[in-house]
Amino acid sequence: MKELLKEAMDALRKKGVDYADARRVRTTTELLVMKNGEMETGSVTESEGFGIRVLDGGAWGFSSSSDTSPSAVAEVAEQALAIAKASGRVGDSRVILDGQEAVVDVYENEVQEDPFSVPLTEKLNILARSCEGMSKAPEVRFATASMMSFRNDKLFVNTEGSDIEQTIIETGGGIAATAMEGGERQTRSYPASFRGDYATSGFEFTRSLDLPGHAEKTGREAVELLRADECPSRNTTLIIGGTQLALQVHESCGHPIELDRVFGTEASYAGTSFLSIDKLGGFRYGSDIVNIVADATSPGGLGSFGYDDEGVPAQRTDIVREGIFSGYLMSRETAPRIGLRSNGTMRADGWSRIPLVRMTNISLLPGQGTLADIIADTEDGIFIDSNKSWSIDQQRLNFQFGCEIAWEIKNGRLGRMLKNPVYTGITPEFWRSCDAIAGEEEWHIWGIPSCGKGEPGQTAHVGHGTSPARFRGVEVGVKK
Amino acid sequence: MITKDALQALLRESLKNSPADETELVGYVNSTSLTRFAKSVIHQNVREDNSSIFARVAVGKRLGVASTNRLTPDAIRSAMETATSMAKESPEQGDFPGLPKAEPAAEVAAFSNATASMTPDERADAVGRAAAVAAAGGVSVSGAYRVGKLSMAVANTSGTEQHYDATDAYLSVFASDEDGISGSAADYAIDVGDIDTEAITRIAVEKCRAAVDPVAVDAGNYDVILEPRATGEIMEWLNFTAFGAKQVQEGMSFMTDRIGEKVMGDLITIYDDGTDTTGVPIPFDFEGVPKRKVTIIENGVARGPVYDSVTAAKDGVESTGHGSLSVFRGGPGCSNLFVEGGDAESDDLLAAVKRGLLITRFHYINGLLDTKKALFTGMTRDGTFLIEDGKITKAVKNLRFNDSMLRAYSNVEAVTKKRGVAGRNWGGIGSITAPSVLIRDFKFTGTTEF
Repeated sequence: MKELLKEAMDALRKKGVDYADARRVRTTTELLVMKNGEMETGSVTESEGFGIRVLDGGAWGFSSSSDTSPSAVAEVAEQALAIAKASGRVGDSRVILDGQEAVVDVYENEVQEDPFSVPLTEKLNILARSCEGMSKAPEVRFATASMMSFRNDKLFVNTEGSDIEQTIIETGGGIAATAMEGGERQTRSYPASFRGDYATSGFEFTRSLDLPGHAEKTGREAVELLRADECPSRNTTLIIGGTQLALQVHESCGHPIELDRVFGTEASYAGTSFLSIDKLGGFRYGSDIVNIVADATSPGGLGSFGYDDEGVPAQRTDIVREGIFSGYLMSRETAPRIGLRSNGTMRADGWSRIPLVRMTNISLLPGQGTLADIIADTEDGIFIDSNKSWSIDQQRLNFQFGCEIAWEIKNGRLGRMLKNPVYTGITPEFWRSCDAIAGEEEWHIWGIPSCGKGEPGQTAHVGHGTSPARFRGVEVGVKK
Repeated sequence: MITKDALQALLRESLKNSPADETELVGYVNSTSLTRFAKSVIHQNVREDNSSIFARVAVGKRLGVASTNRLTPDAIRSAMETATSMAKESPEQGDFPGLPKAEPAAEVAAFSNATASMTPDERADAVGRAAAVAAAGGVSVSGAYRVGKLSMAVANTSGTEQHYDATDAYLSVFASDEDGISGSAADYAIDVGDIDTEAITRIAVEKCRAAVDPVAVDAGNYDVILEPRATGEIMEWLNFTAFGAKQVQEGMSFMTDRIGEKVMGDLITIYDDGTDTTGVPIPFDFEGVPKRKVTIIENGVARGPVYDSVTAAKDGVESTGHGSLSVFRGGPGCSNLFVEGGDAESDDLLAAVKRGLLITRFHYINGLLDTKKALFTGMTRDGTFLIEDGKITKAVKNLRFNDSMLRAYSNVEAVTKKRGVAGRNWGGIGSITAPSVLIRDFKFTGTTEF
């Protein structure tokens, strides 16, 4: 296949295209979901194909196929060129790519235990014991345990001589207990909601989650939520746990720093960004203690890789430094428009999609102390965690998140449990109110395997390093 | 693309090689092309040709699923073997009633040669025409023009065999000026000939031009006119959280324990009809069961959800033909959803508003706050206007709503005769056809800066 794709690159070069690249991708995904001890889903999905991207006359074309025969490769290359020529019929702007060194390399992430070699019975046993643990509370009507494993083999070649092979293996899982009583329904999950936590890692990561060991507590908290008081609506101090803060970073920082979005290429669908070019380097995004990086080299991060889908090496970039907005996620096309070079963030969802600027591991760097220290230092407020609902405007300013659980804080201590907590704010006002971030010992990279973007829709696997943090003057609840 | 006969023969022959007690094969062969444009320049232009086979097998009541995107007998046999290994190791699915034996589905006219043969040059020319209309209005356009063709077949060892060819075409146009003021419009159809690029662009441009100099209004309760796309976006979330039998059985839906009760206003009737070509029909589901027309809400009364074979067996009823793809096992759902039109004209709705808002569309709705109350949040976008004394008087900055959709749709006072067809935001063939509605006292709780 590699030779076929290289021949296609040679043929396109001879036709005088500005640039072309080709990717062959083979993915295997295993999804196991057990509910109340019965199998909800057990599936293995395999997909293989290739895509060719052509820049001709300053305009893009892309075509892809699951047919990997020699004739199909030649045909798809021709289609991509014809599509590029069609793109050039409208408008007079020309795409110019930054200069990059050709790369020849092989990359594999570190894996101690191949998840596809672990016996199915062993995985199902973990899920069954998790369901059993959650179901000890009779009010738990639905005990759901799931795990996913991914293998992604990628081959990348381009007309500049790059030749990169990557194998990335990812695993993870989670549990959720839904308790019901008298028409009330509450769900509690571990270690994070919406199927759990994921990492670029072997099955050792899934084992480390110890899903069965957390099942009973998860079920018990779901029941406690049924009887908890409703979270009051008020302006207060909010301490956000790591898993919810990961989604906060994702929605209010990760998406608005995508430079393609800033230039309007997502305007009609996902929206634009309040972080316009004039704000780079001077805009106060957060308080002095807020430092955020994009780091595709973080070990185990779900947004870690060797090279992006333009063949640019994974790297670390300052996004917010001491509260000041300092950097974007960029591609070879977008970076030169602001006088910079790509920082390696272009990724595609499989062989049939073009790469887009995507989050890598967008992480809030740790501060000092523990969550317990921050709570002890808080006279009056609310501690909130585990996402339940999310919504943000198209420029990423007005956000609202609902969470599974909260606790009242009074005089430095956690008090009563509260249900149905919701908080809302305006992104920079919110991050400017951050006055405490817990330290390294509380810091973890949360893996989110479901970040959506683009048309046709693409799903990316991204990571967010966070430790719990405190925010002042936050609107909690929905105004009546 | 593979012919109907070849695809059906491949599935039929493959079933003979399955090692499982029961086997279902879904063949999904698609070619999709999409031209994306921003600020009147094409920035993305793509084509995908793919063929997927999804194998669901049963060994007793133990199930396994595997898929391949190789259309060869060997690859399909391998997928069936993988699924069978998965099934043999898995615990039982107690509710599994066996694979359905279904009669042939009704033929639907869902294929357009014009859509199937549309070229990249033709799409580029359409974008060029949209750009010209926008330029004449002093703005630029962004958006997407997508055309797709699909050949789908289902066969199982119970003797079910279905096949269907379809096309769909989708154009969205987002007009914006230098200050980021925007307006948008979209259309979705089987036949590209039914999509009027210039007309859609003119609507988007007019909305954009009318949206300049927006004023901030306070959050609070307003009478609102929701245009068809806005209602369609709400229906998509209601479909996800409430309209399927699994959500009802698991206590997630607002219809749980409330079937037969009045949950919305008299003017609201919601149904799914997989054979109605007003939308983009799909005449059978991923289990091969023909789709029945299902009325979910009738004049405000909850009539019941849509079913697949598993949820139907649990409730002792027949499947309505709304099963989802086995690899996801998300439970049944609607794919060709309709909100019935009323007898009002758009001007009648405006005239009935003393002070309120006209909403073109929503952004980032989320319906998971409290699914039993259908409590939703979301933002307005791309054309939000103040109505005073029956007339649109000015543009307003966008607002966030938090409201129960049961409360909101109980307060519907007028529904237009005219309906719009929208594609599903979450992809896949299928549509939502909805009118404009006038809702009294819709609850907005926040504002934003633009």
